Amino acid sequence: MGTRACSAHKSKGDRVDTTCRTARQHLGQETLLPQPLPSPCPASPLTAVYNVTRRPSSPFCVLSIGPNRSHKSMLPRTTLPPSHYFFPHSKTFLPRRQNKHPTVPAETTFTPQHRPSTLLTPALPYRPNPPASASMITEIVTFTLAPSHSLSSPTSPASKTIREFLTAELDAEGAHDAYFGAFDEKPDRVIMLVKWESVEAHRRYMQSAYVPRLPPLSSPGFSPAAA
Amino acid sequence: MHVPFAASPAPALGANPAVHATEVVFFYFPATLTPAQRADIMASVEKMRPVIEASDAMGVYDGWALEDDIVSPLDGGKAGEGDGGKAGEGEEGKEGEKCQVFVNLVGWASVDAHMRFQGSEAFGQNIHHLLGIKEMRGTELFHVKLARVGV
Repeated sequence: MGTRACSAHKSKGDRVDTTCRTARQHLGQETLLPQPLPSPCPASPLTAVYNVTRRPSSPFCVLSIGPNRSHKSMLPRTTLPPSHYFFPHSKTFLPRRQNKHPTVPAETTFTPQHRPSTLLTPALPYRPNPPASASMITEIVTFTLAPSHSLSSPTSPASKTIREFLTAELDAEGAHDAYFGAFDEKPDRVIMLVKWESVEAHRRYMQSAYVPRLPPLSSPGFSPAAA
Repeated sequence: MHVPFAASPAPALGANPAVHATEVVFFYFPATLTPAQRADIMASVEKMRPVIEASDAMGVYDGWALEDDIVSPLDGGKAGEGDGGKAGEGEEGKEGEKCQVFVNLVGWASVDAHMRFQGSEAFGQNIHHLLGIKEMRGTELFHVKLARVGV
């Protein structure tokens, strides 16, 4: 194997970026795989590359990513090889945009002296909603708010408190996503849903030294620990 | 309760921006439900599933809670607190009874979209698959616009 780096990563005097598979191949470092190894499936049904086109008479190719386009009113989707779902060259683009607006369609332009396959190699998997593993579970808690509280406004004390509580829970190892809301039919009845890697992950959290308790928003007798 | 859905229910919870109402249904069954009875129940559920999926629903997710001692909020056979909750044909549930719970989450563009489906011929012709489950103590059905934390 020669030491020629992938042309996509050539830069003046810079260290070769071995996150690119092509670079690894050329450097004889094929075994240096990014960790964790991305799934061959889209990390999220909501975010995927749905089109790669080279504009005619243009030096650029356009990569479109965004929400799953399977909805019947959406544009047709181009199926790409699994490696095209992840972007090693987009450290300055994809993570920033995806972290802030994971469901906002986005387009980016790459200089086309490199074919798209050169640019798109697994290195930075984006997993806002990982596919359900065999052990993944959703914690579901319902409780009734005390009469003095409501979730009628996102800025209400109850809304803020629940959001802070769930934000703290999301810091726990194995916690993925959290949702909450009040039932339309009974606005004083609240549901919280938290996705965990496993029941054990949730139980470890509940047994940890510090578990924030939901302040008394609920009717007497409620405790999230009992849910 | 902890529910292992077969696939991530995130789209029905609101991760899909087109979902503005999540239908949440809790089906309550006796804590003594056997695996064979559960299999029969799932066979009935599977007959209703394609009807829902063929509608305007945006994702159908269901699963059994891992716990078999969930305290039922149902009161003396009354259907659940939500709108549209219906009891099965079997013995009615009692408040405080320990239950196994089957959870169903469905994403809809709006509550009206769900109500239109409930008024459809397809729903009317097939809902008996669920309402005819004799082991069912009762149900609770709610709609909720969920907020995602951390985004």
